[in-house]
Amino acid sequence: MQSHPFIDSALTRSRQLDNRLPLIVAERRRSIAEIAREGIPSGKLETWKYTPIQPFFAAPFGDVEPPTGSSARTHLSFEGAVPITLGDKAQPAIERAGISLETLDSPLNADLDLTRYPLALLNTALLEDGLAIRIAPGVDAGVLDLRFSGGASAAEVSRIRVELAAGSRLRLIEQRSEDRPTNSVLDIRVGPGALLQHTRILTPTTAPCWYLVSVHVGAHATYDLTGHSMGSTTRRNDIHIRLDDHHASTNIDLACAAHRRDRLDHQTVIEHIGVDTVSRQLVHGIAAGSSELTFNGRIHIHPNAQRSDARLTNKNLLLDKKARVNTKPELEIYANDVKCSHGATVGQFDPAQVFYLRTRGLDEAAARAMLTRAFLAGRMPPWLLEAGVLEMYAELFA
Amino acid sequence: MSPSVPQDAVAPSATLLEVADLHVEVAGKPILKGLNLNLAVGEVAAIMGPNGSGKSTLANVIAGRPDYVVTQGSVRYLGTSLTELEPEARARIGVFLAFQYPVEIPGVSNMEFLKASLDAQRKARNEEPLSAVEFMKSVRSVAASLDLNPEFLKRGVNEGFSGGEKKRNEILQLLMLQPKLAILDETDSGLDIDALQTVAAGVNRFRGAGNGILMVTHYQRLLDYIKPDTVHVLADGRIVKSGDHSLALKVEAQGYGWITDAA
Amino acid sequence: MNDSNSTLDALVRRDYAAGFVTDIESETLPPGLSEDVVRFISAKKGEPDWLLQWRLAAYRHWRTAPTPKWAHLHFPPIDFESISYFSAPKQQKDRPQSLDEVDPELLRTYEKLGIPLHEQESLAGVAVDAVFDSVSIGTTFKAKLAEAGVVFCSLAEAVQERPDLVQKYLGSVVPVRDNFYATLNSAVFSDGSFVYIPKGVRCPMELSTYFRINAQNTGQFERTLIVADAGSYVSYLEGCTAPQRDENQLHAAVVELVALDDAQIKYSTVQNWYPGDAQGRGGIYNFVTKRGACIGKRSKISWTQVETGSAITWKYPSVVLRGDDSVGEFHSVALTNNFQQADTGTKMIHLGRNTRSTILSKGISAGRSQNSYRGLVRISPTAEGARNYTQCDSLLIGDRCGAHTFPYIEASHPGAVVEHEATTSKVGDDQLFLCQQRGIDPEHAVSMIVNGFCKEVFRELPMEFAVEAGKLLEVSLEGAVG
Repeated sequence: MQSHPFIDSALTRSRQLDNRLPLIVAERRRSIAEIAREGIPSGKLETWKYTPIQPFFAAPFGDVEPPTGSSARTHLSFEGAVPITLGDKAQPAIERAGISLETLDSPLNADLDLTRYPLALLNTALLEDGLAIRIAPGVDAGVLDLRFSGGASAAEVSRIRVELAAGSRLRLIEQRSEDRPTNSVLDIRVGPGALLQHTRILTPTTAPCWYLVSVHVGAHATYDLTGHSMGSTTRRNDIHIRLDDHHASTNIDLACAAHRRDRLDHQTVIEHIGVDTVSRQLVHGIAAGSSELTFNGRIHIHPNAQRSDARLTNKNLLLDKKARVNTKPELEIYANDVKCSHGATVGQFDPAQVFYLRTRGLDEAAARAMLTRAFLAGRMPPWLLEAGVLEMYAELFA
Repeated sequence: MSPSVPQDAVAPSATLLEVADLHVEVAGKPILKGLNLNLAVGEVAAIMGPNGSGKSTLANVIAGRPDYVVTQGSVRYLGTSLTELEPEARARIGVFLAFQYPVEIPGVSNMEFLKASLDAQRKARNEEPLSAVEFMKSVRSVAASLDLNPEFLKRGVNEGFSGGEKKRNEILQLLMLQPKLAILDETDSGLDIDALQTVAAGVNRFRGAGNGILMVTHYQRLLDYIKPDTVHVLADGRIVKSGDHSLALKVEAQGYGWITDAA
Repeated sequence: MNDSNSTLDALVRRDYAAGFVTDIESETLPPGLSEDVVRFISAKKGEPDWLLQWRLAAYRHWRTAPTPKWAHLHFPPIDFESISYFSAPKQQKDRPQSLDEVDPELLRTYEKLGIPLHEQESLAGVAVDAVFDSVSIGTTFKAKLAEAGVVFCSLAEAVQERPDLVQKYLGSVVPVRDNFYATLNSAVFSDGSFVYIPKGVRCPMELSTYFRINAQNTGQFERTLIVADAGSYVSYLEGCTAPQRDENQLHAAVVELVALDDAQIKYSTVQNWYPGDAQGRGGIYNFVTKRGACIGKRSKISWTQVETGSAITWKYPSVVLRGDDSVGEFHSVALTNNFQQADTGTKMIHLGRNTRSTILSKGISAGRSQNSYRGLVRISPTAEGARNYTQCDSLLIGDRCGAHTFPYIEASHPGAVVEHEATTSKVGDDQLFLCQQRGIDPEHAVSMIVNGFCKEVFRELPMEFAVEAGKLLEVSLEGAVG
C-alpha cells in the first residue's frame, strides 16, 4: 500500500459517504483499497497521452470537508421531456408506467473496464450521487431530461445506471451545465431489440471534468449518441460501446469545440463482439485560440465478429496558430469478413466554400461563421436546434 | 420575376463592364494575356473558345477569385475598378458569378444561404432585410419556376445535388439576388435538353434593359435558347474574333481552327 | 470458413529458399556484452579513439535504458547476454583487397542468393556491398563509382578513409540515445555501408547492400550512412536473408540518411529475413531504426519497403522534414504469415515550411499473424503550409490473423492539411470462386489479388526489385489461401 495525501484523504472521505449510498459500502472499500494498491498513476499513460490524468487524483476530489458547490447555470428546456435532476431529493413522480428510478446498488462495476478506466474506481470510492433508471420490457419511455445540479460539494462524483429491457425505447437528454470538477459515470445497458437515443450537452467549465459513458448493446438493439461538447479547462470524455450480440448497432455523432486554453479530449472505443454488428462515428472538432483538441477513436473487431461493419470519420478545423489537434483513429481487427474504414483530417475552411459565399455578398467573417456553424451543427435535428444548442456555441466563439 | 429589389437606374447603352489589356496568372502561369472586352448595359455577350483558352479564368477573375493574380490591365464595372475589391464587395455592387462547378456546403441549408446572401446585399444598399414571409414567398415562386421542389431549399447548399440541380440552383440565386452583371460560367455544361430549357428560361426572365450578361460557353447549343447580342471568341488568353450570333454558328460548323490559325 | 481455407493454407505454406547455411570458418566472439566487447569490436576495426568513446557512451547509456513495450508485439524477453556481438569469416589477411581475394565459398553463397558479386556477371547498373554477418566482404564497381566521385564502401573503410564525413554525420539523424535498439547498435555496430554523393552528382548506378546473417546465436548490428550533398541523387537498395534456424536471432540495424539542398535519396528495401517456421519456431527479431533527415531546402527522401520476413518486425522508416519545401515519402508492403508479427510504419516530422509527405501502407495478414501499421504525422508550429496524405490499407487472408492501424496525427499549424484514410478488405470467397470458375487456380488467384493490392507500392521499386518483390510475396503467401 502506498501512502499518499490524496489517497489518505479520499479514504476518509469515502467513509464519510457511507450513509449516502448504503448499498455500495463494500464496493467502496474494495475500490479505495485497489486505488491504494495501484497508487496514483505517475508517468504517462498511453490512454492519457495528451491530457494529464493527475488533476483527477487531486483536490477537491476526495476532500474531507469539501467546500460548497457553485450555483448551477441554466439548462435548456425540451418540449415534452420529463426533467430528472440529480442531487434533488424530491424527484417528480414519473407518471408513465414502466419507468423506475431507484437508488444505486451493488455491483457497480461489473460492466466496466477498470483497467482502462482507473477513474471509475475513484468514482466508486467517492460516489456522492447516484440513480438507476430502469425501463420495463416493451415500454416506450418517451423523453427524460437528466440534469446535474444542486450538488452540495465542490466536486461532482456521480453515477447513473440506465437499463433498457428488451424491446423498450428511451430518449435520454443529458445536460451538464455546472462549473464543477466532475467524475461522472454513465453505465448503460440496452437490452435486445431496445433503442436508446442519447443526447449530451456539455457546456464549458473551468474545472477538470471526466465522463465515462459505458454501453452494452444487445442483439438487434441500437444505441445512438449525439454529443455536443464545448471547451473546458480540462475535459475528458471516454465513450466505450460494446456491441455484444448479433445485429447490435451504434451511431455516434459528436461535435466538439475548444478555444482559449482549453483541453478537450474525446476517446471512443467501439468493440464489435457479435456478428453483423454496425457502428458509425462522425466526430467534428474545432480548435481555436491556444486550445488543444484530442480525439482517439478505436474500432476493435473481436475474433468471430464476422460481417462487422465499422466506419469512423473525424474532421478537424485548426483555426489558430497556437491551437493544436491530436487525432488517432485506430483499428484493431481480428476477423476477416469485415468492412472497416476510418478517415481523419485536419485542415482549415475550404477556400472554395469561402469564395462561393463571398461571391454572394457575405464578408469573410460571416462566411467563416456560417461554415463553423454548419460544421458543428449541420447534422443536428430541428428539436435540438430549437432548444438553442447553437447559441451555446455562439458564446464560445464570441 | 423580381423579389422587389429596386434597381438603380442605369442608362441603357452605357458601358457595364470594361476589360482592358487584362493579364492574369494562376499559380504563376499566365492565362489571360492582354484581353480586351466591353459589355454594354442591356447587352448579352457570349464568350466562346477552345478548352484552356482562359474563358473560366475571365469569369472567375471578374468575381475576384483569390489566387487569380491580375498582373496587368484593368477591369472596370460601371466606371469602378473591380480589381482591388473583395469578392463580397463586388457581389454587393451587383456582380454575380454562376459557377461552373457550384460548391457544396454541407450543413448550411440552401434557404439559410440564400437569406444570408440577400440580407448582406440589401444591407450594403441600406435596405431592410426582407421579412421571413416575403422571402419565403419569393423564393418559393422562383424555385417553382425552375422546377425545383421546395424540399430542395432545406437541403445543404448543393449537397448531393445532381449536376442539373446545381446549375438550376445557380439560376435561382441569380433571380433572387438580381445583380446587374451576371457571368454564367459554362452554365449549360452537364445539362440535358429539358434542364437546359428551364435554365435558359430563367436567364431570359432575368435578362433586361438594366443589366448585362456574360455567357461563357463551350457549345453553341445554349445560344439557341439565350440569343446573344454579341459573340466573342477567346483563344490563348485574348479575344481573337468578335461578331454576332452567326459567328457562334460558324464556330460550331467549322471549329476554332480557322480563327486561331489566322490569329 | 469453407474448404477454400485449406487451399489458402496450402498456398501460404512454403519453404524459405534462402534458409541454407554457409559452411565457413568464422571468428566469433563468445556470447555476452561488456565494455570489453565494445573495445574488442572497435579495436578489430582499428577505429580512432573518438569512435571508441562514442561507442562506450552508447554502451553505458544502453545499460540503463528500458526496453520499449508500446508496440503491438508479443515475445519473450531477449537475453542480450546469450548473443554473440561479433562474427566474421576468417580471412588469410585482414581484409581482402579485391573481390578476387574473397573466399570462393562466400561468393558462392551470394550467387545462390541470386546476387553474383563478380562485376561481369552482375546486374548491369547495380553496385553491391555484401555484408556477411558482422563484416563487409566486398563492394563491386568501386572504381566506376569513384570516377563520378561517389564514395560507396563499408562503413569501417569510410571511418579510415573519410573520417571527416563519418564524424560529421554519424548519429546526426539517429542520436545515440534515440531508442533502446539504436543505442545498442551504436555501441556494437559491426559493419554496414557508407555512401557519399558529391554536389550535383546523379549517382550513375543503383547502389545496393545485401545483408546475410549466417552464424548461429549471433546478432547483426549493421549501420548504414548515406549522405547526398546538394543537388545530388541516389537510389539505394537493401536486401537481407538468413539461414533457417530454430532459435530467434536479433537484428538491430540503424540507417541514417542525410539530404542537403535539392538532394534526393530513394531507399528501397526488400526484407526477407528468415520468418520462422509454420509453428512459429525461430526467425529473426528485426528491430531496426531507419530515419532520414531532409536538412536541405527542396530535398526529398523516399522509403519503399517490402517486408515479408522476420518473426518480429519493429521498424519505422521516418523522415524529418527540416528544409523548406522538402518532401518525405513512405511506401510499404508488409506481409505476415504463420506466427509472424509486424509493427511497422513511419514518422513524418514536419518542421520546415511547405513540407509535404505521403504515406502509403499496405498490410497483408495471413495465418495466425499480427500485422500493425503505426505511424506519426507531426506538424510543428513552424511548418506553415505543410501537407500530409496517408493511406493505410489492410488485407486479411483467413480468419485467425489480425490487422491493426495506429496512426498518430499531431497538428500545430493552422496552415497545414493532414488527411488520413484506412480501409480493410479480405480476399473474398467470391473473388476466389470467380477466378476458379474462369480456370485460374486459387494459388495464382490469391497472388494476383495480393499483387493488385500492392501495385501502387511496387511501382515505386526499381525494376529488378519489383520483380523480386512480386515473387517474394507469392512465396511468402504459399499456403495462405482460405
